[in-house]
Amino acid sequence: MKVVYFDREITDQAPSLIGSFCVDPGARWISLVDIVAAIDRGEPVEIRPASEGERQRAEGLAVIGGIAVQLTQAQAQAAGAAATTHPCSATERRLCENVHALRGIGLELAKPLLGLLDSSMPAAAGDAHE
Amino acid sequence: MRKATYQQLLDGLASIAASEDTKRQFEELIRRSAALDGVTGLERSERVQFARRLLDLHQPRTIISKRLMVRYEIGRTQAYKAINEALQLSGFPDGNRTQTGSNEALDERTLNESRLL
Repeated sequence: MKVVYFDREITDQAPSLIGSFCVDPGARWISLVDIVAAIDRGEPVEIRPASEGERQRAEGLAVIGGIAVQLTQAQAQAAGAAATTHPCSATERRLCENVHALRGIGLELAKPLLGLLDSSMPAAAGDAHE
Repeated sequence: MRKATYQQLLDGLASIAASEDTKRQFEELIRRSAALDGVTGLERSERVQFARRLLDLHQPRTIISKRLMVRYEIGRTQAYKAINEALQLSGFPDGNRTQTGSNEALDERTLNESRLL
């Protein structure tokens, strides 16, 4: 089993999104218990620190995750306000639609980051800086 | 959180197909998160403004892309994204173009970049 290790500086930014150990390939979060269990089973385990690119993608996900939390709160407030007024006012409806559109952008922005690991990224042929 | 992370998110945002208004709002959310992290001076607008000024000087896009690549240490794709964004900004009217001191300053600043090309 190959595992990529993300240090606490990154995991502390979004503990609900970013874990410490990620299986490569597949980008699946596992715990220290899983690693110990694999060693107990006699599986070879290789652990390497996350590369700069992987750290940056993890940070990007943490930022988008933080924004998603803000939007969820805004949506809950809008829904709460809508529940007190029947029918839903035009302003509340617009606010809900706006939050929905912003969440959609967040999801689009997160898509290329979700692979997280270098092994899941397409090679940037002909463009060394990207 | 590093500046490069926010920079990359802003670059990604520019290439998403969505209404400009929604994208501006999301950009504001990213910039607010960056500010809370103590990250300021994100380059997107500066990069795009630079491209816009070169477009106003009627520079060919190939030259603009090379200058952007040298100045901001970005790849060709990112450079052309900045140019595309700059194309959506309105340029200086022809009559005012030569009167702007900023264009002269721009020429001085980019002299070294030109030598590199």
